[in-house]
Amino acid sequence: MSSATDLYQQIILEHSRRPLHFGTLPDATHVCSADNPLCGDSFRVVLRVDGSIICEAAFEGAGCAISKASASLMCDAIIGQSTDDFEQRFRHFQATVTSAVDAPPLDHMGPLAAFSGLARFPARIKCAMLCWNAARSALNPYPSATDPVI
Amino acid sequence: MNRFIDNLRRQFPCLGIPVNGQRLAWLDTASTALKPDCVIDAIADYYRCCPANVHRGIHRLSEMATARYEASRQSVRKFINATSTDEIVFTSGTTESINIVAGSAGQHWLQAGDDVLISELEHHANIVPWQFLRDRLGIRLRSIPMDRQGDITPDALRQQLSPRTRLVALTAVSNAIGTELPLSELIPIAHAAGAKVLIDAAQAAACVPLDVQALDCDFLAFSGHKLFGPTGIGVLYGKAAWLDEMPPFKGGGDMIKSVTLEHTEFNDLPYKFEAGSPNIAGAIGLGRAIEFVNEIGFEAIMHHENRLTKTALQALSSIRGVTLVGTPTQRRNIISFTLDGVHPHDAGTLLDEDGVAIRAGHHCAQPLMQRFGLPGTIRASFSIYNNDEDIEQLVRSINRIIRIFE
Ligand SMILES: Cc1ncc(COP(=O)(O)O)c(C=O)c1O
Repeated sequence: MSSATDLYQQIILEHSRRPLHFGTLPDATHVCSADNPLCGDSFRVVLRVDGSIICEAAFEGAGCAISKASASLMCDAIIGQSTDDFEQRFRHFQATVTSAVDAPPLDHMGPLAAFSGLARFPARIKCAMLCWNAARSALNPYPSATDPVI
Repeated sequence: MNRFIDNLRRQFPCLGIPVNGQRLAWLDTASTALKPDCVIDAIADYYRCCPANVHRGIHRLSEMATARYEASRQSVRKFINATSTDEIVFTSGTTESINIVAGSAGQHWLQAGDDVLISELEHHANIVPWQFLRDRLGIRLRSIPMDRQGDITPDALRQQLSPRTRLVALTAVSNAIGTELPLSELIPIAHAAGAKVLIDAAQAAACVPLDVQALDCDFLAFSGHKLFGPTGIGVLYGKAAWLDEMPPFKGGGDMIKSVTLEHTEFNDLPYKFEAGSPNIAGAIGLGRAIEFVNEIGFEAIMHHENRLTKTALQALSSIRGVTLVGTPTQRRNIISFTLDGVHPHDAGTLLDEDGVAIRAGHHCAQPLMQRFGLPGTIRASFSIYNNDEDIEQLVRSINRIIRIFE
């Protein structure tokens, strides 16, 4: 994938227009807001975690197509996963959107692979990571100093 | 005119370099202007021929550097029609200029309970320094609301003035929506109320002639980089009487006459405000940029920019899905708009793919965006080196984006 037009594939546009898991959870156990003051994007990510399993995930707020689609796809990808799985997916997604070379879309990334190619748009990486970072801080409010932060 | 513009365009090397394989349509002059060869050469020439410090060498190269540096100050003086070069302080830019006034004049003239008045159109550079002062001194910071079109009217100013208003700080042209404020009406009203007036001319400097004596403003700030000059250089104009009274802002070399370990005798104007080795190349580049503007002349600049802005306004307003943000009575070279269902940043990324450089976001004017209820806008701004092709490229790209998001 190379061009900006490629980036705005149907899947990203679809999820930005009609995001999945958009809203809140009455019995959320974890909450974190995600703001990018630079562009005014502002979301709230909520999770219901039972033991080590993320049973439900949702988000609400407003932002660009990239941030919204990323949040929608993230929620969809992490529901039913363990918090350890989340961490793995987080790292994988982060590597995908930040690697300078076009990372080959990996099978188990599923629809999240739509974001490979984002690395060519450094100004937009923050958008894609916004809700991922929020979900991660919700799960782990005191990350160790060595954790990479985008 | 077309030949004239083509000729000018050739003097901007950046316009000859494709972006994403496309011809570059630089519609982001309000953020920073492109630099012509003559400015780049003047800077390179200083570094090649006389890269010495100013005001402190008795050798030939320092004399040369000093002569060029001070010639630039003279160019700036003429450019804004100040009475004396004593009134021209070189700074790092508009932001520093306003901070100097807030930090020095503020400290000197203002006390708790006094009012500083800004407008709702201000850039963060003309908001945050006053908030610092509010927190430090307990002054009140008030703002003049704009009307629905995005204008600041004399009546709106009158309504916000109080007997405690000591300073009114206004932009000359809004960087976010293009409003040109009616300064020749506003400034006398502020003065009649006993307030001093600071003008943020960051946007105005490259698109309207400035005459500080005719305006009778007390302070005026602008940046070199929006005026075809380099970054890191700017100007603070202040009436000599005020600059004389004000304490220096920064301490160091060059701003002193004599120093003992206990006491410092400050230097004369304008050096009192220029502590440390200055941005010599920047000042020289700015001087050359001003000459460049003088060679073209504001008549031609305004004629061309008005025409382009009008053409773009017409073209944009005829696209379904485009909403103009702000419809000021007197607009300069800036148009802000939104695209239905498309976030400005998504539009920015796709415009960039088509070689169109615009600014997407809040334009460092968040209070203004909040008033419009928007996270941001798409902003196109026009300069002497833009042409109809740039506007066509913009319109084509916007239509393409609308199709993608349909
Ligand atoms: C109206 C206005 N004021 C102040 C500034 C700040 O200028 P600088 O960043 O050069 O200090 C800008 C620049 O964007 C501006 O447009």
